[in-house]
Amino acid sequence: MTTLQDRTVELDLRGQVCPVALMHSLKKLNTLRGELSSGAVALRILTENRESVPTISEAARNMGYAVAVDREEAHYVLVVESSGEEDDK
Amino acid sequence: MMSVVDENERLRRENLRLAEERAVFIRYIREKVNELLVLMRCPAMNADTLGDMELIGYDPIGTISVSFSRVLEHLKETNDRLVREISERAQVETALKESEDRLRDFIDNAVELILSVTPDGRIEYANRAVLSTLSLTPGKLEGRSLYSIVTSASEQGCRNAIGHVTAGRKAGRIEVEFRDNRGSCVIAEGTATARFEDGRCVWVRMILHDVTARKKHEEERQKAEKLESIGVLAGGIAHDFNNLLTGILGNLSIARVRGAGAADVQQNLSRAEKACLRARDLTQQLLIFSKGGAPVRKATSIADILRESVEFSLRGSNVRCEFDLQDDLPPVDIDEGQIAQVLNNLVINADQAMSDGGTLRVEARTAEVGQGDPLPIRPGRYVRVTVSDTGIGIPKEALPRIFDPFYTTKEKGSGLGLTTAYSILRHHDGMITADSEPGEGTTFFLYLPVSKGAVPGDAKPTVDSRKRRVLVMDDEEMVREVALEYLGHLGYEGEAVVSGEEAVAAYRGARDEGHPYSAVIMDLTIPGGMGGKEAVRRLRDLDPDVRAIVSSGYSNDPVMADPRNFGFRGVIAKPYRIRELGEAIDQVLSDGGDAVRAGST
Repeated sequence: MTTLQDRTVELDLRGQVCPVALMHSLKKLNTLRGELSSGAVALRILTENRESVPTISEAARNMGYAVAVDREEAHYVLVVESSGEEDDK
Repeated sequence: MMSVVDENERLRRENLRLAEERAVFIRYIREKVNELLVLMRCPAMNADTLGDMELIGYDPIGTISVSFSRVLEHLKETNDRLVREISERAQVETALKESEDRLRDFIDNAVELILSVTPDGRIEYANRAVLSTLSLTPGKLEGRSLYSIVTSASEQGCRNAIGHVTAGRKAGRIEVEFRDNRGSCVIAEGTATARFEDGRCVWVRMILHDVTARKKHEEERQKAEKLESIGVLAGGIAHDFNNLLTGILGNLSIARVRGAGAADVQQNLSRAEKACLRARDLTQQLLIFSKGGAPVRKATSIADILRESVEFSLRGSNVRCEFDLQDDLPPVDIDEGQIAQVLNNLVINADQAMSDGGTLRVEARTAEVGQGDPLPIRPGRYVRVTVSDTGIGIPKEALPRIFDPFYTTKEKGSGLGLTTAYSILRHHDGMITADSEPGEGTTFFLYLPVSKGAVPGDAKPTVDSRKRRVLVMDDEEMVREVALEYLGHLGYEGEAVVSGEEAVAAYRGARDEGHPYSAVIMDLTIPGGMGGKEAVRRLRDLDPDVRAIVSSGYSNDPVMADPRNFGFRGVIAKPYRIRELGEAIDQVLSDGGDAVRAGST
């Protein structure tokens, strides 16, 4: 999927299982919090662990981000970005 | 002294204790992290999947706590936004409701009749004005067909108008005749427009206003105009018509007096004479509606007229008549013909109201009308005539309208009878009122002002008056011939002239020769010549005591109503019968000069 963000940060979690994958994802989301919220950055997470996909997606959505999931040949790609709602304020 | 062994032992124990403590802490952290992970719907971890050092390295509590703070922040933002949206929506809803209330208030309180109907004519909505105009209770109209509440005469027009707009043509005028709940008709007119959605007509709006009163008023006005034109026409032909009638009537009278012919011929003549008199009365009735219609009033005894008119009108009827007339009734100033007509109208109505027979009671009494009396007549002395029947009566709602022009409850009524009566009584400075009880009968009250003069003595031609000379002035040959014939029969020596100029010359000549005229009968109007009004002025210059009688077919001329004011001493309306001519001449001959001088100008 294409994103309109200036920059995309990729987090490759292939080989990691939950909850380690979740921990890595949360850490990254916390670090990029400002840039993600403003829409400057999109986070692209790669994982092979099927269980991690809903866990990470739900956590990111609870934080107010929009999440799109794509399945590639051997792994999943989750793109987390601003939901744009904050812009409405 | 502590040995090395002891020291080692102490360190070993201390390490064990620390290891146990560390294990407790790690277990505690694992438990708490697992609780948080479950909250985040993540499978809990165990020591096999994640070693202690590795676990601590991830700073799980710190990481999750920061994430949770972000979740909380997002929840708060979401909540704020929702609160804001709810308040905005509430505002919009309030504004929408206000706007709807205002529109509904407008529509509900509009005087106009507002409806919406489906293209096939089902009523979807009708405002309050529709309900109140048609005397319906709310909810009685929605779902019904429009065509079930309009008159059959109006249905096709409505269908056409609705068909016109549903076919997408321009808004059209529509006139609807509704049948209201009480069976009367409400006429409304306005516009019909259609609403289209996706090119399909979904409903038709109708905005109408009640024009019933205006339509009725227009109808009344048209009737009144018709009436006026009848009056104008009657006024226009009255003169010629009455002259012709004088000729016909005169010749009929003469033929009868001569006594020639068989009894059946006499009967034919009598019938022809009656028909002429009816024709005269008809002209008279129409003239009442022409300008003025002033009665030719004479001091008259009402008792005789009451008996004559009532008995005449009741001939051949199964209605019994009772009279209760005060013995010493004073005379009243009336136009005999007009009052007879009023009585005739009242008696005919009464007779029709008592189709199975009954009693008609006629009373006459003097009545004083005082200053404070609610009657719309001048205070003074009146003769009050009461005509009561025992018929079907008049419904309460009809009673206030019975004197209105063209108001009638009879299938073949003209609606003019009581209007004429009302008009005549008004012209006599009197009045007519009615009271009725349905099923019991109806009573009419007539008030006629008591005359200041005396009833002229009964015309009894004396021997003295015979062979007196009478001059007749009229431009109609037939009238002159009849008048001369009448005069001959009455024992007078008659002479005739055709204009005022000739009359003045003849009057002067006869006086100079020593054979003066005892009386002069003059037509009021002579086309292209001197009429009676001017001629009598000249004659009075010659002879202030001239006994002049004005004669005209225009009974509504002011001279006819008040002849003394113009120098005449008597009046006779054309057409006249021999008896009427005799009475008029006898009256002026027996008239003292005083009254003339007092009344002359």
